[in-house]
Amino acid sequence: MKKILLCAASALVLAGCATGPVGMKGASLEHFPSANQDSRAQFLILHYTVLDYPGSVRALTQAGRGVSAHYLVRDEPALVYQLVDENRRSWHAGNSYWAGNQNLNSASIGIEIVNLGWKDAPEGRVYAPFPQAQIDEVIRLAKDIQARHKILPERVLGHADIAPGRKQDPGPMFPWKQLFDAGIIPWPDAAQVAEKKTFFEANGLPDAAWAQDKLARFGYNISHSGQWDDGTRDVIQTFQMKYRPAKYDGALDAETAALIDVATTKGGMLMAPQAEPAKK
Amino acid sequence: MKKSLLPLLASTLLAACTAPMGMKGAQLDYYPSANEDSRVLFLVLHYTEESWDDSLRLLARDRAAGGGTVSAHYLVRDDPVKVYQLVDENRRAWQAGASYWQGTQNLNSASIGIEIVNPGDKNLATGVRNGQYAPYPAMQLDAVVALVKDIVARHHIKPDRVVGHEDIAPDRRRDPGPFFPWHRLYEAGVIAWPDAAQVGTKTAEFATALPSVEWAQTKLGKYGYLIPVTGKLDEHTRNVISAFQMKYRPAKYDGELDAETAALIDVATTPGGMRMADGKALN
Repeated sequence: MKKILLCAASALVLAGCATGPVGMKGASLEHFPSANQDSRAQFLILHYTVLDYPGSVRALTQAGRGVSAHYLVRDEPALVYQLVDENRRSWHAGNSYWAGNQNLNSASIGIEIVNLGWKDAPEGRVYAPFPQAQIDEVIRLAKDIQARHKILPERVLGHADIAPGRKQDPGPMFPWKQLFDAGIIPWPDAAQVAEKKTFFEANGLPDAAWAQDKLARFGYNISHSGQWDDGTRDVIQTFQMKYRPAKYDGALDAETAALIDVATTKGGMLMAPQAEPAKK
Repeated sequence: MKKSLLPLLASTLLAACTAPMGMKGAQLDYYPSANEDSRVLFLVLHYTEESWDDSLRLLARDRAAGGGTVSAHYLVRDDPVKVYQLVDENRRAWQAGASYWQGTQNLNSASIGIEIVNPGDKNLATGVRNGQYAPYPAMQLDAVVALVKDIVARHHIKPDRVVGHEDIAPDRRRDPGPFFPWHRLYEAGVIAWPDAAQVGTKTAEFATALPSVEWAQTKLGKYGYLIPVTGKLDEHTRNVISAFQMKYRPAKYDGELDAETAALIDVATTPGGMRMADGKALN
């Protein structure tokens, strides 16, 4: 009797769980799965919280705060917390744009990283570093999400990329290069960048219209004003924070121009070769 | 032993069932946030412009199997009337294409799509579009209305975000066309409608002097359409006005800015002008 009850109970529970696709329930409904579909999550967006861990949890989970993220990566100890089901929309991107897509919340997964962001000091703006153990967790999480949702490498972005000027996160201390090394994002080919840098040093720098056209093609929301305006400076600074974090002044120097050029040239963005899984 | 096993097993199974969709790992803790909602913000209605057989083939099979690179979450058959689910609502169907509504571009990730089997104005034998639209069987419309109500309620979709493919891609698309009775979705409490009394007053006013095209473009942009303010009644503006007319004044959808159309546009963009069936103002 008990055995039967056990089986019946588990069957009941399983039935309540495995109900097929999410959608309308009804006797008149038939399922005919289409081959033409994919994940709603097309982008993965990285943020820093500008708060310590307890403050981050409160801000991202309490009602009325108006913000959230799917995941929160704690600094000390480096742990991953899930705040929102990936099938649901979290409120992390806000007013945002990338490559023809606007308002990215419905189309993205957001990761918040506990980090205090920047402070203005006598020597200038100083950004807080990320502990390596925390970065390791971010990379592990990003790889897992990317694999499950088949997110394209060029769609793993920072909040600053999709809202330049309004946002700086994850900032210049975030080691994007490690995400390249891990096979998550592409990177401008170093050989081509060196060649282009020499060219721009010898032949002079391109103008604002050139930079705006290239950066727009890369994905940024940038006006084609032909002027070195604030918006253009913000976008260049954001681009530098990712690919040339040693100097992110928002000015177009030869190296920055070379990086932009290579990043928008066919064959210029490369993925890091990944080691074959060890055979047993 | 057996006694204690039962609740344990059940709770394990339940945990597996209720756990959030996401990374699996022993290290992961779940702190549910109050600040979240459905990824689905829009509901988009289409007609297939194909027979039932071709509709199903194009929407369900991949290209190698003779399908298209398109799909929808639901397909509503005409004869017999039946609703088919083709894509899980948690997944992205490929139905909106290049699209825009109310500040959001590329709506596939943010929407659910319903395809209705109907030829539109296409002669299915010749493949030629002739401007003669096909009506929808009443029973098929009943099924569409029931489906729309169910989706809107579960995802909390706002009334001004239940749209036609023609609204979000007015230069490319005409569906669900002038024979789709949007007024029934108003009667069902799903969408709002311009208040008839205000429209009457405004129509009389505009009959003496029509507002400018620039005025109409500004208003229609505010309403949700992607429409540059050019001041000219260009082809795109005509397409947008025609899409708007197909919904609210389907008797005539010529894309011209006449007094009644201007009145509908004005009331639709005036606070208190759009009403739900229970009389409540939308904004």
